[in-house]
Amino acid sequence: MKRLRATLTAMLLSLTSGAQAALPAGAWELYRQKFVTAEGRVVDDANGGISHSESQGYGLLLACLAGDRGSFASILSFTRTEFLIRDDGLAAWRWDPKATPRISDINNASDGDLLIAEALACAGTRWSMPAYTTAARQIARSLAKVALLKRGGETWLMPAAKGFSEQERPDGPVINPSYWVFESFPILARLTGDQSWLQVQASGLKLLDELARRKIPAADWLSLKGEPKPADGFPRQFGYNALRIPLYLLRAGLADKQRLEPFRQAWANGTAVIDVPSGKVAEPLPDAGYRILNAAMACALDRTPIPAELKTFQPTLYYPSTLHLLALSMLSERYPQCM
Amino acid sequence: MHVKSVLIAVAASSAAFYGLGRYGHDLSWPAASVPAVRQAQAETQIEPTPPSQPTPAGQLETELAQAPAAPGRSAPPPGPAQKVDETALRYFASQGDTRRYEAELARLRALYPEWKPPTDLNSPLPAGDPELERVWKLFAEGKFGEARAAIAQRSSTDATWQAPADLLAQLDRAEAGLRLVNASNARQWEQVIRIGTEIPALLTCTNVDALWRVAEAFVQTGAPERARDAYAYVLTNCTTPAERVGTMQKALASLPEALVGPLLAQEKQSEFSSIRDEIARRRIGKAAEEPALTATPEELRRIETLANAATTPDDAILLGFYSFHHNDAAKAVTWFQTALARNGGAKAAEGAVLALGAQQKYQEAETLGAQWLDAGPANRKAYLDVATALIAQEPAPRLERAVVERIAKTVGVDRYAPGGAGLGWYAYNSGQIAPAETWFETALSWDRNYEPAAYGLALVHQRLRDLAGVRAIIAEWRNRSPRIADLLNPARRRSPAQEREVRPLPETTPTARTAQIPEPAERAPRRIVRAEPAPVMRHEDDIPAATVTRRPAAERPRSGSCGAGASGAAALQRGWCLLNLKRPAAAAEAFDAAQRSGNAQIAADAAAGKAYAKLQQGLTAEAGAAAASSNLPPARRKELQSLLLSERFYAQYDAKDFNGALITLGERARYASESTDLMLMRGWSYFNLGRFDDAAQVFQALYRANGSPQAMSGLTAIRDITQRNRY
Repeated sequence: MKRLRATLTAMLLSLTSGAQAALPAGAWELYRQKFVTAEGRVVDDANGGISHSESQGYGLLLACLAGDRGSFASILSFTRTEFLIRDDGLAAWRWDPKATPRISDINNASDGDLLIAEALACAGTRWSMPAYTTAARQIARSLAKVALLKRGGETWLMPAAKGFSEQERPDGPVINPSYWVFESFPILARLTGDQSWLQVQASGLKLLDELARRKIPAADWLSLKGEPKPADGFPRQFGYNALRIPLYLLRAGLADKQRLEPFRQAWANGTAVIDVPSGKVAEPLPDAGYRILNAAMACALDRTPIPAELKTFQPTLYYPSTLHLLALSMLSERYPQCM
Repeated sequence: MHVKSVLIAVAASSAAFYGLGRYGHDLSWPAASVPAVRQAQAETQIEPTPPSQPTPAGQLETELAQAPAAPGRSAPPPGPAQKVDETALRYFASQGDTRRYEAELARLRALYPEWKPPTDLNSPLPAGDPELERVWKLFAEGKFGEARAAIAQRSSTDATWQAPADLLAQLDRAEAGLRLVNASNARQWEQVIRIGTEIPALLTCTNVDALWRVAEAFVQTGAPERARDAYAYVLTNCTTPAERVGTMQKALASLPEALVGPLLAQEKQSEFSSIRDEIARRRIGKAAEEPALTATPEELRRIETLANAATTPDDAILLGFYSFHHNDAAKAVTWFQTALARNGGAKAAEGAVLALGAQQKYQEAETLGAQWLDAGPANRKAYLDVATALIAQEPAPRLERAVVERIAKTVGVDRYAPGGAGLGWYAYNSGQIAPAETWFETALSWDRNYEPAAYGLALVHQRLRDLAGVRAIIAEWRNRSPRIADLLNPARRRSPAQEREVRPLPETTPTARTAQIPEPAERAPRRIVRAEPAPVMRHEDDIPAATVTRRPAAERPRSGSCGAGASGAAALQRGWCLLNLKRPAAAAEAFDAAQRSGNAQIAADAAAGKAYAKLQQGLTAEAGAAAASSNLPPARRKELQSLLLSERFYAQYDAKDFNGALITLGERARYASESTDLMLMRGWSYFNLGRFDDAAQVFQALYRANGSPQAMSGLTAIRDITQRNRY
């Protein structure tokens, strides 16, 4: 009985560990004021003011991490009424204020669903709201049904319910390695008792380690038809998608030095979008929200101090600002010495 | 607030629980509404809900809103004296928000049948909680996200505070309503049904739109009976006239007819008159498309009354097409003319043209149709149909040159084979043989399988005494067209005079009353070599035929008779004339007479004529004898020999003696070069002997020389048969 209680306590702790990570005072408030509307919509201001399941998921997660129960409630209200309308219970991925109906693509995006589920689990634990936990579980189950692909001993996370499979693309299956929100997999596995989520994690790590052996950073979109290579019809870049991978690894405590090496090499002269075949810089990324990703790796692996200017948060655009907050909360939780 | 509407709303709300809730159960969605129904029943029975009851997954909707999963929630407190939460009701009353007030009243009445609505609604809300009032205000303004935020914030600052169950239920319902609309707009039908079954309070007369959307979802998921139930629910319970009619419109648009009838029977005071009109319209429309169907007199009367009273053309057009397809062209014309007078446009014009055509008022139809040529493909088609019927008439009608040119131009632009053949008949029937030939050939080049054009062309060849040309057409068509196959069959020749397309030569000279035929803008490839010399009649007043007149021929008689002169010259002239009239036996007699009484020149000409006459009769041997019997000039002898050899060739070919036929062709080559038609037949002979390479060589040469479609069919036949042999 005593042991059982101890196990339960440990589980509870691990479930809530993220929730207890504090965001720097005022940082979330700045973010909320800039990117979250009163109705609970998280606006991607660099993309024509649209929203997506990813932005809603990030908003929910950050609200939970910041302990902002009110914002969480409003973002969830909007997410539920506007996004979570698919037959399978997952979120439609794209919401455009200029389109009628607002959902301009009913397909889901698996990372958006992962983020929403993780955030619901976070909130359910943090504020003792079993309904949130139940909702997280339902999303996880539904996502496992439509987006997990078991193939050749591996379990892959398909980017969406439709459009990326072997049947649907000549170079399929095609995946997006940055959709592996690593921190969410153990949570989903515990919520559902479905070990597939841990297999997804293992396959993702295996893929990244294989790429690291070949000394290439992951491209945003990879074809798995043969040996993993950049998928057709997408820029062959380590770009805006894949740049999240080091952050996700760090947040999940999976920041193996060798695994991260290709990313550090790619950014040796500063964060940038990198052309994968040539290794050349396609577009520098000077925003603090991107630079902190490089700085976080350096501090986590080599104890290189984080530049002071990156420790304070000033909202810029939705995407780098989101990454900035996720990086800051990660550092203060896992690497307090870096802060 | 009227008692009546309250009662209806109550009925509505409970029917929604038990009626639509059932669907979710039947369809066995994992998160179906059974728990919701159970909960509703529990609440209706005024029994306390155990505080620690585990939460069914199906109540996610409610839970998400009402969490934390604290005891109590929306269940009424225990004990016989139920305490109904009237704050929402009072709030809506104070705001004058009638719609929400009525919905809330209906909901409370459904949950608490014993409950009496308060009478002191105008007294101010109990003061003391301005913060809660602010949340209600946010809710009333549709700011659900902000209302949720306010509730959550207050919960986190004041652990003892709980949002009123009523507020949470209202928020649940409002958000579910939004989700339902969004899911329905995104065509996520299963989600629509799930939301409807989970939050049945959504499906009441205060939100008929939601009921419609659920019904549509049922239709889209293949459950029309359940859609019918939803519509029936509205018709049984809801009173707003526009919504009732709208419900019937939706039912009519989406349900099979058998399900619509019983719904229509729920009509109150002729409110569905417009629906019945629509049903009648639909039946008439369907019957207009499928002539086997008929509309009832009642349906016709209904729409006729409407059409007569209207100033719009639509019903008139509908009735026009119905009449047109039900053998009442005269009535159809009247309706279409009515429609045209009401700016009925292209459709009315199309109908009028077709109906006039059906009345055989082709000229009127053509004149009208010509004005609508650019209105669309259907109008062009109608025009071409009546124009073709107009020109193909026999005898050829008197038409203005501009009309014929207009028809020729339209036929040419559309490459309309029946129209091309029609122009061929027009020329043929008015004695203009050269343009007839051109038009028939052109029609065939547009549609190689258009038999009437081939038949017309064969008749032209026959008339030109181009027997080889006739043979070639017979060879190509014998298996597809009995009347072409029988053209040179003496036993049956000209016997099927009843056949509509059999056209005897005109007995009178028609050129005075028929317009000249323009040439097709785009001409079919012409034969380079005219097959055989043949007597061709000459028409001074015709467009010169493209064929070369090889010999002087007798004047074309002005009357049906060929004259009766006794002189050799007269007999010779009579012989050619009769030959022209395809009366070879009489012609042969005339030529005999000419031979007996005429001079040497006349006798030689008559011998040749007799040979032609015998040939026309199919009497090859006698023709040979006739040719041998006189002192023909060498050129003419050669001509006749080659003609006779051609005939022998065809006889052998018909008897399937292909080797013999090829030998005959070789013999004939000594007298005359091989015509295109004979070359074609040489190709077919090789083909029939299985000598595909030889056949292909001949067809290819012919195809390269003049693009002959017949040569192409030869090549196609070779390809077909050689490919087939591979398997």
